[in-house]
Amino acid sequence: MTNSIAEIEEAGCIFVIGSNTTACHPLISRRIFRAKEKGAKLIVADPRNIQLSRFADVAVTHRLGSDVALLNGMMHIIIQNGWHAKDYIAQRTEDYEALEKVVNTYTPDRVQAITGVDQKNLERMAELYATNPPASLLYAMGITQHTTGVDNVKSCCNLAMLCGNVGIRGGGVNPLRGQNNVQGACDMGGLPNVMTGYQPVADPKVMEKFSKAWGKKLSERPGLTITDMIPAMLEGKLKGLYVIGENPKLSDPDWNHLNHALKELDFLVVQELFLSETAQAADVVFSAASVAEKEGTITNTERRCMRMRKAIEPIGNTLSDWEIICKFSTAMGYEMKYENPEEIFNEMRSLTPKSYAGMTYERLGLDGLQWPCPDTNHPGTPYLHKDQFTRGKGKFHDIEYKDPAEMPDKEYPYFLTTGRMFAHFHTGTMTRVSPHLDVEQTTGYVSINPKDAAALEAKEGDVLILTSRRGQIEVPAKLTNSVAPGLLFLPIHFGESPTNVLTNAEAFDPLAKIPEFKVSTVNIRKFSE
Amino acid sequence: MQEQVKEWLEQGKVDIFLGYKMVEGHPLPHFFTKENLAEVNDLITGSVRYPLEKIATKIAAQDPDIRIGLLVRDCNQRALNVLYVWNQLNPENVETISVNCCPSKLKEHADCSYLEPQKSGPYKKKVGVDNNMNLEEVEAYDQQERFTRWIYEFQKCIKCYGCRNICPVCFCKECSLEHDDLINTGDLPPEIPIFHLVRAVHMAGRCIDCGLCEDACPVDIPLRLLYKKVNEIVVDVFDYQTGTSPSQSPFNILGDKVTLELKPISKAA
Repeated sequence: MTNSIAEIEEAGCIFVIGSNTTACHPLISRRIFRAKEKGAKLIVADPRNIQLSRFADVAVTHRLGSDVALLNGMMHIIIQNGWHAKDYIAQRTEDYEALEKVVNTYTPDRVQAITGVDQKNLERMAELYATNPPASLLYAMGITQHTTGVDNVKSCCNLAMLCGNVGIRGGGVNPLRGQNNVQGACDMGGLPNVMTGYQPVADPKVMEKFSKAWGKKLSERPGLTITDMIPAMLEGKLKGLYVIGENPKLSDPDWNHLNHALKELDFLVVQELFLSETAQAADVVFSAASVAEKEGTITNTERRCMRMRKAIEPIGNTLSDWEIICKFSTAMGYEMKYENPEEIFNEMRSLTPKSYAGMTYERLGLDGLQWPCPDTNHPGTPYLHKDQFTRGKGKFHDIEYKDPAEMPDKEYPYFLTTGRMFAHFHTGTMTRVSPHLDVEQTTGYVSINPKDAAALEAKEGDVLILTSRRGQIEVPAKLTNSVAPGLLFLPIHFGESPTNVLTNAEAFDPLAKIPEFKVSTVNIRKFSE
Repeated sequence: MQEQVKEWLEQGKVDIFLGYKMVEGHPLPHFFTKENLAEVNDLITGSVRYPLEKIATKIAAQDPDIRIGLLVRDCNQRALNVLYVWNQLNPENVETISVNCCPSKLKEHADCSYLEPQKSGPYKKKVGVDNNMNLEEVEAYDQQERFTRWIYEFQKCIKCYGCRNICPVCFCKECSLEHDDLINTGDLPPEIPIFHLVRAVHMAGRCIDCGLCEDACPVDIPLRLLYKKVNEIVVDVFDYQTGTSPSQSPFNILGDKVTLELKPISKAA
């Protein structure tokens, strides 16, 4: 998030796109409700009718994968009406002309044809967003999990900069992260192309610094993304895989393809709390300590690094992740020896000058600190890009709409989207073992519009067979008006009806390599014995 | 206070004492024992509030003869009375130390985490139910408007169960709110208004107006007001003052084990 969670309450307008916030980020939805009750305007754009839509001043259900067209359409109307922040654009940004040229062609008629959103609603969205500063834009996986994921994010940034909403309190472009520490994992260099604090692997100076600190020459070649790893396994280029706290057998696209790839591996190690689907296929499983059993820090969605304290000693013979990694590395010939997580944290901050250098365990205290925090007197940064952007001027990108990789046709006439429901977390490894959460939803389901169900003569709970170009699954129907006719929704939590049998491994963003989990096409029929 | 607790533990008047201790900067419920007597020096009180009596019922359920001491404010004391009436705790096994209480017109100086609800915003005042209202003010809306306003509040529910989990007098082994035959599970918001009304009905003759539920509610539903209404009915119809009447609650019916299967209506004997 460029801005902070608490600042959402200070927004004049909140635009939620591609986030089912009440189900997936409930305590952020609390801020949205409070802002709304204080008088903020609320815009919700989601292919489904979600809980938050009921509270919106304008709520639209745009067609799956049409986000770029929708956002360009809003910008078109904003520029036509002169609602854009002309001084801000002149002083703080560049390449505005290129943006204007492209969005000029996104007339309301054209946008309606692509997105299904009518002109009146589009105008209302544009007006509310542009004329109620500060406006905060919130998004989640509904924006990113597309072949055009990067384009979608850039379009969100274009809109926010166009109205001068970046670098101000209560505004911003705010991606809601899916785990308590996914921001922290990325900050720590848990990506193939960067070291801590996003220092590029491709920069020889960076690698020299880390090589010196660790006393070993490091490779200057960026690693593989998970999307690239699967073909590498199949080609025999990748022979061993070490999976920590992830369950790719359910979370990665195209189950059949992935299983085939995993079988090609010489060696699979999985570090997990529970014997997940992936752990069951491993040669070796390291049993890891849970959040309550270990010390360390987490960095949450608002860039806030906080201390995590051990509540109980680890149960059984489990170890903290850092202890397992140190032992593993030492056994492989590179000794890693640390007394405690604080020692590791201090090493990390000494190598991460711009964002973490100013944080110490003592300074983190109870509330933590938000990066960037470059020195030990720095109070942390509640919102980014205040006086200038990281690169100097904010760059507008001219972005054309592109269709998703699959569009409905005769053979596969239904759109399918995937996502989360409120009671479970990701592949359910942690939540499906909780009786109170299990009681909310014990099995997988497919949300289907009652009209579509009627055409199949299917009632609530009847088993439907969903077929895509990759495979087929059987799953009980849940009749709901939250999806329009022609659209189906599958939650990702349930191993017995794995969505990734249907989703496409070959459709991913060319830059970010994120798979297009949010759009695929299927056919359906009713199961009969 | 600490001396008294030490004395009780040493003399065996109580086996454990429930109070608060500062843990990593957070005041948390903690039980003190004779074995760790020096730890009683860390016993604190203050504005922090948890349903210590609810923790006591869980301990007593495992060890019915254990003697429990605890810190109580007025609300804790009312909750204890309800738990005695409903046979969840045995008053003979409970000792209390009174501490400073919630502020009210009668008690201006008080320590409590639930001071006053936040000021409601203009939109909430326009379409919802202001948490600062009293019953007469809400009932001044005509029935249709009142219904619409409550539905607005219920629609915000994210089904976190915070209201139930914090409630000192929620002690049922099986919770109707989690029963798919009574209320649809798996939906967000939960089935409304039935989810909130079932809980409200269960609060009749039980709710002691501590306000912990509303304090816990992340979306500011005025739960306290809702349960005040059901208890107003209990007073009017049964002349029963929940939390202070020592007699059995009018809803405490002893009889056969109740199951949820449909049964034929038995003819009057």
